[in-house]
Amino acid sequence: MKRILILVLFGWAAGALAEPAPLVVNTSKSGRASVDTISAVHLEIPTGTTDLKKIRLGIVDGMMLTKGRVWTYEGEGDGYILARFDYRGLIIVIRIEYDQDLVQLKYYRASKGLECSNLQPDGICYKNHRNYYNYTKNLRASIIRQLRVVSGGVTT
Amino acid sequence: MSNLIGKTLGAAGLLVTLLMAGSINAEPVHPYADPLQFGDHVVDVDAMLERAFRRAKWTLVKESDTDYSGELSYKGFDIRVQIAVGEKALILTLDSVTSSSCTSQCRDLGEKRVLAWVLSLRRNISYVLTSLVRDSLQREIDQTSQPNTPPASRL
Repeated sequence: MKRILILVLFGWAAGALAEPAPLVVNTSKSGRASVDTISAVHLEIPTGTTDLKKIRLGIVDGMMLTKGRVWTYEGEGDGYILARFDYRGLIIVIRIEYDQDLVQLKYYRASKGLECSNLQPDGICYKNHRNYYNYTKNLRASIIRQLRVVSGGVTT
Repeated sequence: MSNLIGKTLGAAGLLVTLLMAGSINAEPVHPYADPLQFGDHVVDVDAMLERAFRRAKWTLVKESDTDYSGELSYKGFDIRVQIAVGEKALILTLDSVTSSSCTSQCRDLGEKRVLAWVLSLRRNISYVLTSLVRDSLQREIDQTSQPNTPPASRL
């Protein structure tokens, strides 16, 4: 009964509003990675199509076809998909937010050692271990590729 | 009266915490105990779990419509996990670990190995789930472009 309650509460809690937005890095803030490093993960991605079904497919295809380690599906809600990365005990969970115009990766959770030490209220991670940016930028690059495929921009 | 106020404040605190959890989560992720949400993408949970357990080389036992257990006997360890399946999500919990050969001297090493094996099982479940979600989304698009085509059988 307790576990079922946790399932219900978790699903409800993850249902908060999600909305991608153009990335603006506050350069006056100290204790952050470089703008290029942050952008490699969190810069918004134009969708190339307004069909939300195709956008969701592009995101999941991108997760499965990421260079190196596959990102797996953890769940989804209105306007976002949760993607998880596991490698040798290191775990990153990214909240991939989308609408008809943009897709954007936001920090959600991570295991010890990859927790964001300067997390902004909008989910942009200003400071983390370099592995966080290295692993997650591959996911972003893969989603860009697959969005082009589903929107008819390129063929594989 | 003060008890009622305390309960109300406690409930409000829980509500705020849960709402905040939707956008940002400061808690570190648990290696395997976070719920795996499959939503409407999976119709046959049995088939999904069977496929995942086969990939992970674990043994699956169905105990009821909502409860499953998994067993692994490997390198002297006997590991048992429980899987509780809700309407749209499932949770994996470690039930027991026994070892005939491991003494207190190898306890730390044993814990790491067991964690890695349970994590591997969860990863296999989520991998199979991801491929099912992918197929489900592709079918939605195909049905939109060909509205008269009957839906394909779902795993």
